[in-house]
Amino acid sequence: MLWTIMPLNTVLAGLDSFKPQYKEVRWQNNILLVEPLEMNKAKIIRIISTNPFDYLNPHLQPGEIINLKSDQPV
Amino acid sequence: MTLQRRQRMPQTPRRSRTSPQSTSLSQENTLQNIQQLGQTNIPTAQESNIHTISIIGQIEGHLQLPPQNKTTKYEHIIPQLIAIEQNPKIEGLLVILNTIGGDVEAGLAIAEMIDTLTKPTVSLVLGGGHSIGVPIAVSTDYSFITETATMTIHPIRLSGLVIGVPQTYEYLDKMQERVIKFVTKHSRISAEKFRRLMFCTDQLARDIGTVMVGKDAVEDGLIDEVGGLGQALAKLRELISNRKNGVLH
Repeated sequence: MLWTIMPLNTVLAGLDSFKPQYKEVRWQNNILLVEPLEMNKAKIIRIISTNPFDYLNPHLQPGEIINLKSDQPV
Repeated sequence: MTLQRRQRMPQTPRRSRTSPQSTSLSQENTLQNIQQLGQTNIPTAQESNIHTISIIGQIEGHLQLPPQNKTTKYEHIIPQLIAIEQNPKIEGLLVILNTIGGDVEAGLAIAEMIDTLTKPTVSLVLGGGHSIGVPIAVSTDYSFITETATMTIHPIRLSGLVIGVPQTYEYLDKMQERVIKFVTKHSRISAEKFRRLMFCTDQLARDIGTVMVGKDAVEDGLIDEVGGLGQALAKLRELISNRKNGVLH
């Protein structure tokens, strides 16, 4: 349930056509939910880990672009 | 985040002109580094004992919002709060708010997590802390609002829906009660006053509710003090040193 000052039709505009493609990968021994981009690159969407410190790791922050082939950040 | 990716500095070979007898130990180390590694010591960023979390845009809950929304996702914030609680090097948390509201459950979950964190916490409302941002703002040990920041309190409802059955009304009322209970427990405002502000009819153009600017929120007892970044950090440091001296916050 949303409680917001923004009109709901603005918040939810485009919800029907919003179909992101996500993929689960293992990267640097972490399981990540990523959005594949061009050329083996991917954007981190979510970290799947039980280690709380993984969530403070700057290389694993959502939005970071990673190289799926080389195990290195881009 | 304090850890920055290390950047290689352009390597400029430097020759020490001082005589070997007068070179201090650190100069010797630098010299050794230049000779062996071809580079000088790189100053590393000092690790901060304070971490910060910004609650921005929409607080995203069980529904993933379309990309035009800037969102704060609870599945990211909650494990970070656990890491902050766990890490002995982190001594305090600063929560920055600039949010227009969002999911009630996710917002309350974040607020409860911040509230039960044993380390000192301070919040700062910048720009806006509306709707579900209100319980998050009051969940910290001490709260600040900048002079120009606003907070909107308005009833929870399903937009555009005509309430046809009493059950719907009761459900909304229950959700509202959860928020009111949390806010009144964690601030100086009374439930009656909060409800009065929520259903105020002469403040908003097309809605009922109240907009509070800076010191209004402090006068109404919702926020502790008007202040900015300096005051918020100073307060956090004070709470940290109090905790070290055995004073419970």
